[in-house]
Amino acid sequence: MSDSNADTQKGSSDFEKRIFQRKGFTFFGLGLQDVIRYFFGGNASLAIIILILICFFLAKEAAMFFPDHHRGLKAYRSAGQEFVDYIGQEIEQHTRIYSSANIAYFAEVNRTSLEEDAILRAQRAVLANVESLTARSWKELERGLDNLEDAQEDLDDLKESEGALDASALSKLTKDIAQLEAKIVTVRAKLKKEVTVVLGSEKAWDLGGGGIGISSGARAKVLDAVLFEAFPDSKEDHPFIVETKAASRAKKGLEAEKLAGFKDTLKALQSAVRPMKDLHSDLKKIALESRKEINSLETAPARRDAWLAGAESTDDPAEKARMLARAGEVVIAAPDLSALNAPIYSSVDEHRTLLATLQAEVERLHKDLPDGAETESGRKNLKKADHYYGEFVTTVRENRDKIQGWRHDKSLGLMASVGAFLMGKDWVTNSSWHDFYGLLPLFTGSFLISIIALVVAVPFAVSAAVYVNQLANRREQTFIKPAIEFIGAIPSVVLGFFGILVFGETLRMVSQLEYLQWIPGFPMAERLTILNAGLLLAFMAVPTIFTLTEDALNNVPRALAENSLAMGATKLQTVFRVIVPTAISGIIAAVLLGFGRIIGETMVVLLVAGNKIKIPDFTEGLGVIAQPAHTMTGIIAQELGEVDNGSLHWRALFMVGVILFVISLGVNFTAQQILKKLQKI
Amino acid sequence: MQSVAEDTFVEEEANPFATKAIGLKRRDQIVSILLRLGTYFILSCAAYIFLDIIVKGAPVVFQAEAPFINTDFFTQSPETLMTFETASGDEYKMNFSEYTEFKTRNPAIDIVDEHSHAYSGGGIFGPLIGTVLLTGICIVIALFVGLTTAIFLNEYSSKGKFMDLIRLAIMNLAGVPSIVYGLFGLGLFCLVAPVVTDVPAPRAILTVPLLFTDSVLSFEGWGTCMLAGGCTLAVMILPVIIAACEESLKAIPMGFREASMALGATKWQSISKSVLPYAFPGMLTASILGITRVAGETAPIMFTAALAHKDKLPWQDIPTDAEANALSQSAEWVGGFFSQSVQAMPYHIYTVAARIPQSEYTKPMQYGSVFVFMVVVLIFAALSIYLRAHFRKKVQW
Amino acid sequence: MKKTFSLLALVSLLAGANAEDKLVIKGSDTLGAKMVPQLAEAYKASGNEVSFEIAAEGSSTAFTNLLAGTGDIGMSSRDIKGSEVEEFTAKGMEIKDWVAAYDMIGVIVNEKSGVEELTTEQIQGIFTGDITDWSEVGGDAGPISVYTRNTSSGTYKSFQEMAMDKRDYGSDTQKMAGNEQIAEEVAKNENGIGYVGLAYSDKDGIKAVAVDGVELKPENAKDYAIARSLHYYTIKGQLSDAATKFLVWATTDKKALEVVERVGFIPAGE
Repeated sequence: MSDSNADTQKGSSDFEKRIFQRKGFTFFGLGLQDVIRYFFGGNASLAIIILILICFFLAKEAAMFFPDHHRGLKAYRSAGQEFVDYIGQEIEQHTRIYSSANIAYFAEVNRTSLEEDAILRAQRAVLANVESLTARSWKELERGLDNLEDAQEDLDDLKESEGALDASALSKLTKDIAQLEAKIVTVRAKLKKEVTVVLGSEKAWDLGGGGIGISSGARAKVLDAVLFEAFPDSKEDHPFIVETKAASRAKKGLEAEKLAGFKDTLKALQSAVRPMKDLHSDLKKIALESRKEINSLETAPARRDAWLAGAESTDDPAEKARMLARAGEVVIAAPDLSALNAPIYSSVDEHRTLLATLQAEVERLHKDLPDGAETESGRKNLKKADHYYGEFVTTVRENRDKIQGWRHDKSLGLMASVGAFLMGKDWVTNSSWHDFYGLLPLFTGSFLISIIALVVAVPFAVSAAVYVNQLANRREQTFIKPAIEFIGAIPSVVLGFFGILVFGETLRMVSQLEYLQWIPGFPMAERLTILNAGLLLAFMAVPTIFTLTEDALNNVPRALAENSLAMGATKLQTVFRVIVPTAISGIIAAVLLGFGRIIGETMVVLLVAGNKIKIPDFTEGLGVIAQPAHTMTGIIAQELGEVDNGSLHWRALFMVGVILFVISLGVNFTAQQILKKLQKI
Repeated sequence: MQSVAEDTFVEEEANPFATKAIGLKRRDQIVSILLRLGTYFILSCAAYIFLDIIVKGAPVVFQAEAPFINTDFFTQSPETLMTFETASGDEYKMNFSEYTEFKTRNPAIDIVDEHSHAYSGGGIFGPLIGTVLLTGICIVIALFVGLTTAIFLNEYSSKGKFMDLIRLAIMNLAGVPSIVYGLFGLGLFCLVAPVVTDVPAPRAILTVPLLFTDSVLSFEGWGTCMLAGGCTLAVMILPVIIAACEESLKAIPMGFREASMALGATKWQSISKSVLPYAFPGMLTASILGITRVAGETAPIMFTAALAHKDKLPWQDIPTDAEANALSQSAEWVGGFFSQSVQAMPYHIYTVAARIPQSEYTKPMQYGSVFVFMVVVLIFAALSIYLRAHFRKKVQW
Repeated sequence: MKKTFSLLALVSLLAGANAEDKLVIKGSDTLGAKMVPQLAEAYKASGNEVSFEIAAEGSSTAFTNLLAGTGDIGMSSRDIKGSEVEEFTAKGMEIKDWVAAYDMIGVIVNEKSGVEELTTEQIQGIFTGDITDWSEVGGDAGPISVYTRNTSSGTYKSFQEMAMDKRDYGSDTQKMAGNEQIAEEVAKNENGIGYVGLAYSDKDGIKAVAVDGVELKPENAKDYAIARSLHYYTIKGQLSDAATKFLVWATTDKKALEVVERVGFIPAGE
């Protein structure tokens, strides 16, 4: 660059004459023009080499993933962990039945004391609000009390100390105490005033989301109670609160009595699984020990070599002997897997009998569960319990063959490792049991967020493009276009920052508005959700889609529009029946490129998506958008910095990177093909 | 929006252009109002974000009395902020460095209710410098390689399938997510790139002895450092720069080159005198656009260069061997300079957004950083948008 | 480790020289977000000419960085794992452990929540996903939102070992980058629960529940079920004098212990 600049300046023409126009300039037998040509060619190849290296490095790390992952899966099977997890699945399904029924039970028990509970909740909320609004005076008061206590202790010490009483010290301390007490009285008065003022404001009544309204009479009493409790002369509750608590308890007790049968069923349900759980935890310990032996075998040669190398390099004979001894201690022999797995095989029969009892018991108890419930939540959760019972039965049936046919040495193809990665439903790392690398939760998270972003961004971006290109006047055009391009320049980390500090909270507040409850997923409990990330990404996608759509609209030959207008069509008819359909493939390409941009976006989803590694629960329908999720880009950013180079986890993250790479290449390629075709027309 | 519009015409399927009913006109109006609303909604969202950041961030950066700018915020690096009260009820808020000084000056003071807020004190000098360095390294490398590649592709290379393939690859790589470049940068620059050293690290994958010296070329990587980060960013931006530069070269009419060649100029003379000067504006715009994008990127530097806390500025205390000669000392200094991690604005913002809570004490740092960062990035963005519009208007042939 | 340079290759112009007076400390967020930066500042303030680089991404990074030679001191909020010891021995290195402080992991809920106390069994149920509704543990009905640290965190691991019987976290848990972030989310979400180090438990909007009836207070450290020690790890024989001096100062000096106490941990000396 600097060469070319220098040469373009007029002052260097003299120099040029000497260099460029002298015939016969050669450099290793090449003419000057060739040298220049090779210089540029060399740089171009450097660029191309770098771009090839990208593919190579990603592929290198990722290619090693599958063999390693395969080895891990094999160890998982050989150690018997796979078997133990089958039992674990059955227990988990059982827990779900129990948990849903349990929630239903409590919903029923609590149903008559809702008002009391609401009052208690309101009182807690108001107290918390008041305390945080008057935090400074609180601290002052607390400090005063602490100081007073210290002074009194000093006084006691002084009195108890042997020998003559130090009169001056005594009088000083007494004076101090009097002063402190006086100060506490003033602080308390001040606090009381502050609390009264604060209690009058609406801020104190910010109960957060989902609070059930309470009567105005109760409200006044809550105020009273808070005013009382804000001054902990005694640690007691206000009589009204004590009363409410007792009433709530009494009502719950009454209800629980009525539902005693339900409770018994629940208790029986819980204890039914206990023998199975004991078996599970016993086997788990055994399998974990086996796994440790298998793992330690893998590192054994390296460890022995390291000790030997250490011994080689040291000069100290004692140290050398120690290291050699340590090298000798390393066990390299493969563990006897059949022996290790013997307890597991012998437990198959025990498991079968236990499972039979459990299944019979669950079937019976499931029937004993009440059919209907008084509350909405009760009905919903009983239904859930019913659903989970179905799943429990299916799991048991499916696992029966798996458990019977399970062999620790059954062969495992390399494709199984690929399948476990691409279709795996769990991404569990740094586990004490086994690390699972399943792409599905991350992929669905990324995909869902991108789809939401597109659904929101496309209408706005396309209509803005149509408006600017076809309808806006000159002034608007010169202002809107750069403004939207400006949005594209906002760094994503800034948007993420905005999402976490401002937008998340705003969105949650909005979701709690009474008249927006028809939107699925509202009200939202979380700040960091799929919706939050999706909306921010939509904002990021707008400039890309807008600019490219506008280009596409621009490329529509003017003759088409003129013809249409000449035929008597209105402006909008021309736009929507002639121009947009002609540009449609360009618009599709724009949307695809927008998609490519947001699925690869990292910082926004890392900060805002909520980082929950679970396939979103689609049973909630569109409400799924209120859940948190994790993404492919997010997981790389979150975990890459913290794993060992070359470990399985590290490679799994590179593999995720490769998937992202492939997706974005595919999307870009398709978009460019569409654009190319468009240009040919 | 579209569906609304299409519904409008369904009823008129028989002959859509036939009638000029008043209803149709009104529909036209309604649809165009909707389109306009959509457009302005986008702009108002942007305005909301900008205003939020400006309203909360500007007071941190500007102040009422001369010099009107909070110089401390620009000249100090991030620090822990201490807040405390004294027994007499006075409140204090100061950076940790001042705090220790304060305590030594007033040994008798009775401090109560003391809180520390990580990353919330000081200023953003360190991260700003880091970002400037990273962007600088990146742009120098990316422009050099990108420009020469573009010149080669457009001026020297013969047309053919192979070149088309390369262009296609470059176009496609421009859309690869930045985090993937981060992975690549970590894999190549931090862990494999060659270093000249006497003592190769055990993790080196290959060592090549250099003739006539004691040193070896060890492929052990540069570690997490400024140079690795700059190179990663350069690789990320390279496809964009190549594409943009080639575009601006392509825009120069063939006649310019032909005329020059016809007058007897050599190939290089015609490129340097008749093509590059006219392509310069386009390339300038491309490089400024590159700066805008690179300065805002976080993902590629997360693992390759950035650091949350660093109490020295990059040029301070670089170790050199005092006994060596001046040349090798300065080489060592340059090496040491580029091989250290730096703080960077985007990573700093990530840290203050994710790692520290929001309170009245942390907000100034949070919003101040974002405000400054936004202003800097957007000035570059505005510059590139302006330049493009300006040159487009001016240069016509 | 000293390196010489050749100007032959531009890209090779790189040094990784470890300065004698620069300490690179990497690892746990629990230690690195508050305590160690302030220790570093206090250390410099008491007249030591040392510079610090601190990165706090989680305890696992302490060991990865020590292994790779990219850190002088590793901070960890959990004990080193057997597999990690093996990795060090595999490279012929031995690890030295310094106890930095003691910490209690507080289980925190929103201030407005009615739950005041949980048993370890209930905590295990909540964090493994067996218990999904507050009504099951005596609160008002509402789905529990569980916030945990990211997987490299030592707190993540210690909590798993001490409070969850080593079971895996439920897939419903949300992974947060740091203690402050968990506190922040729980303070904002009435149905939230999470865990943080003692130093982070006095934030506005949250309260620590009593575990098995024992309240989260430094004086209860012995009876509290989820307490642990925090560590510095170094490699034997590879430690510079400056680093040794700093570590000795940080674990024994009165001023250092004051800092430890101020940020809310229990000094190791006690």
